[in-house]
Amino acid sequence: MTSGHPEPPAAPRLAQRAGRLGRGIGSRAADVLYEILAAAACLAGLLGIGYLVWKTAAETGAVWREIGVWSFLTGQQWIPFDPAGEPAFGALPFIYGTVLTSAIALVLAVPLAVGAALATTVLLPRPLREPISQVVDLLAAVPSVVYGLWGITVMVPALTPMLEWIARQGDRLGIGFISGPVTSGSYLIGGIVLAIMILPIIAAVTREVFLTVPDEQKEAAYAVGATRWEMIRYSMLPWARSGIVGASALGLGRAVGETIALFLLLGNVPGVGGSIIGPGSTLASIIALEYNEAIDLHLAALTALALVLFVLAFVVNAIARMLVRRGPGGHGEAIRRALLDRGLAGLTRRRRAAANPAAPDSPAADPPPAPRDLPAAARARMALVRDHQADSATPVPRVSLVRRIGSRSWEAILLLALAAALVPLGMILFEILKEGLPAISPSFFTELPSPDPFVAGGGIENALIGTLILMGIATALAAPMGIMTALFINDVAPRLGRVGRAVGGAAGFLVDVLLGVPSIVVGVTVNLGLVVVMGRFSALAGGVALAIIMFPIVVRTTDEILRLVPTSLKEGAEAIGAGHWRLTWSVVLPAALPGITTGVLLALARASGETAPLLFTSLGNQFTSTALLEPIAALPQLIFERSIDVQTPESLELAWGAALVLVAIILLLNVTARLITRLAPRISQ
Amino acid sequence: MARALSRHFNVEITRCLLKGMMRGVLVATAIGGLSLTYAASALGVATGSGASFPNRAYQQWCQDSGLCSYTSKGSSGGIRDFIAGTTDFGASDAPLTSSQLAQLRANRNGANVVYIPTLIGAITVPTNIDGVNGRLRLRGKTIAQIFSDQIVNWNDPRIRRDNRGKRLPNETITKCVRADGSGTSFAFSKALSKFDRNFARTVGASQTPKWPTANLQKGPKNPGVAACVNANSNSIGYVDIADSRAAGLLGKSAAVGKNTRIKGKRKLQFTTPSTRSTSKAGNVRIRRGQSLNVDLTGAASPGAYPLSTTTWILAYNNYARAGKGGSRADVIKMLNYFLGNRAQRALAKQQFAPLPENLRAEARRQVRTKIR
Repeated sequence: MTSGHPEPPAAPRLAQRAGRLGRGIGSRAADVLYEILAAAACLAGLLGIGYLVWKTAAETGAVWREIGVWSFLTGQQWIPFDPAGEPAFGALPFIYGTVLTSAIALVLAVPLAVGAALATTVLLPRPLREPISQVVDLLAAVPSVVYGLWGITVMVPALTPMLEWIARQGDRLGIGFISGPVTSGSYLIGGIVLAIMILPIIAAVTREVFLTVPDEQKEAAYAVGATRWEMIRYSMLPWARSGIVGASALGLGRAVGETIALFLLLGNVPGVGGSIIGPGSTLASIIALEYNEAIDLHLAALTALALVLFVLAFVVNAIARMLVRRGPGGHGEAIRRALLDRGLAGLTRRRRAAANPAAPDSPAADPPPAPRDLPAAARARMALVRDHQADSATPVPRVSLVRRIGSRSWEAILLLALAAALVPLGMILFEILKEGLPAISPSFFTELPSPDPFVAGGGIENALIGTLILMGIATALAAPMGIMTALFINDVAPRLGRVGRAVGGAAGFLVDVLLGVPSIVVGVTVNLGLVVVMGRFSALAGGVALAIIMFPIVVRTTDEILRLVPTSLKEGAEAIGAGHWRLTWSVVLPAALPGITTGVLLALARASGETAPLLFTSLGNQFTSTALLEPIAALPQLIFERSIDVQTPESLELAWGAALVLVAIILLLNVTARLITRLAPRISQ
Repeated sequence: MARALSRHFNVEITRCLLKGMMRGVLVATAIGGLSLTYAASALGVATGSGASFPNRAYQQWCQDSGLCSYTSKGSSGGIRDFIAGTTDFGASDAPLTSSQLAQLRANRNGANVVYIPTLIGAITVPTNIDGVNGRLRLRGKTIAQIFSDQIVNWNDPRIRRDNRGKRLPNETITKCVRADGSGTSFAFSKALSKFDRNFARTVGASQTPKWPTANLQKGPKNPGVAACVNANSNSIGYVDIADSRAAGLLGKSAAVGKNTRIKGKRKLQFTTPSTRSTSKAGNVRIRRGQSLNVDLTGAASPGAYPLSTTTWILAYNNYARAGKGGSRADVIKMLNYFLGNRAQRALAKQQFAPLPENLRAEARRQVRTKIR
């Protein structure tokens, strides 16, 4: 990005636009209409979600009545049907499984992610830093079901010898926790793949935090003669500590709600204790497995598990947010931005740097638009210091060999961490290309999948069109509602006095809560609130589920962008007599449009790879369907079904081809979003 | 000057690009909106879900006829959707339990279920044992003892006595079973309950049998169990014959032993799973008008594979009452195709067996008379 781009003269154009308007009755009516519409969109969105929550909570009633809260949460038995006795429903094995897999994932992912973030912030040659971290970022977008497919076809066979070795040691030493027999699905394998999945997000957020370390602090370390590692150790890590913890908590939030990959990799046997090389089950995976078939108390118990999962994810996310807010300096801001979505972070960072410094909402803690080549700057200072010392005739103490070796080895370790983080991610991309490309041909897009696993060929027409339609429905619902809700929170509510502010604040909080809801829980609520009520699985239900995933992302990103519209612009428009609606329509929205588009695209990218919510809502269809109220096929679901089907080469080829197309769609959305971000600051306003 | 000009062009180009992109996004959103307004048209396709056991056959039939779309979820999943009325037909290889029946009547306005059998298939018992090639010979009772943890090691004498030539290792048996509620589990556990009283007492016949949890691994649907057997050494599982073949496990599937009478003498006979041996298990007497949820498991007649089972389409006895009046014609059309000559002949390709003539005739009659 070149600096010093020409700012188009904003004020005259504005005057032209606003000058055409009077403040007649029409204008005032438009203002009122706009405010009512914004409030209605916000209320409708939240009421709709409130309705789903109520439907879901109502379904769990039987559990609390017949089992009781405490014995449900602490019960160790899960026997949905017992021919001889009473069924038993206890949540503990699944809570245990969720905590255990998440813990394994965090233990593996956090050190690697921090190492990778440090390497891409200070160690790598400058031209490599941005591209490599962008690549890691994009990998955060690979959908869960693709990790699952990769996990069972590549990782399980590859890791089995290692697990067998661990099991032998465990058996030899009598440690039950890691004893055999080795099974194909296990906590450890699930945890390892989960670690690979949450690594990109932790690395991205951590990097964002490291970028906020003030230059002075780093330079001070260099100035007193610190080596690069010592600078990292004493200047960067203490500064970033709470940010790292926050990033880990954020990764934990993702891990807790992860469904499809774990469903494929865990072996699905609930139990507390036992070996981590043995099979297990989590809250999300048991819901994915049994929700489809449960009736009666079993259904109530599974819905209650969804509620437990929701609460767990909410608590983890709340803790993450709290930790992040408490961080020093620009932490809170940096992570809040990264929390939203990575693509937008660049935009806001750049925009803030260029924005009106008097903007009331830009906090003093904002990181300065600093040069990133800190070692170079620091080296210059060190040279200065050295000169000064030379003047004063005191020799610069040389860095001792021990310190140098120690420092270098730490740097090597950090680079190794980056490599270790990149290798599995590279493997996935390689595998998708290697296995997927041979499947691609013109007929791949125009034929239906073959029902016979021995027949090669066939295509993904129904799933591809289904996915596109689902994306369309979700966008058509979530984008207008989300943008209007953001306008309400940001623009309308503050003008409506105390009540307005209270409603706006509550809406903002609820949107934050929604942001952390695991997607499988969304599937459950839409199934109960829409599918069962309408008496049919439908494309509409699938679209609504995806829209609920998109909605909070759209609101948050739009809100973020709206805050960045320079106050001077708004004041200018108001000064020449623009009404509220005219101000929003002609000034605020055009200025914010690139950011909003980016937000919608990122939300869409997130939603389009989702499998879990579709299983209970859109069902799937063997044929290409465009009907709104009929079941519809989707790419993630096709991949999922092939992953749990008998794996003949012919059948898997189709799955990998579908994975390639899905990943291509998602990456395309991400890259478009990023391009808009890149290009936007030059021409908006 | 030149630099200023080129910068100007850059700005112009990026502006064009950006506009183009955002226009693209707008158009995409508009298309999405249009698809929203696309009227729901009745396609004349019946939607169903359920049993994974006959999945391969149903998928093929639906594809060939264009009359239905089938999603394999496991029998219990199909029953749940059938109860909730979210599909047009269910599919299961287990009859509804009493609580499922009660739920059905409560949720579907008193409508009841009609069982229409569609095919017969074998439940194979594949094994994957280090150093052992080909199939084992396992008595029904031995299989029941393995799945109820009365036999936990491959070199147990009760396994060895029927497999003299094989080198069975001193290794723990890993049991692969269904993770989801399943009609295959029901038929399998029902047969094993007939073979062994201890199994009947401790595990029981059910869509979700109470397997002992030691050395247990669960896979989703029939293919999940097949994958489990393939992935775990020294394992045993139970898989429908079509998926067993697809997973390359048919050659490793046990010949199942049962007591039968040959020329008036009681004799232990081992039968391998195949279309032929499955067909022989289908010889049952059918009374006119009886419910067709007949139990074929444990068949003792000579040459019949004892772990054979039939599988049913679940239809409402009164579609209008169940609130699904619009789908009755579609379902009947589909069932007539399923029970027709063309569909039944196509079964052998997937190792399933067609319905015996008496059962098929009665099924066709009940499609005509019982589905209102």
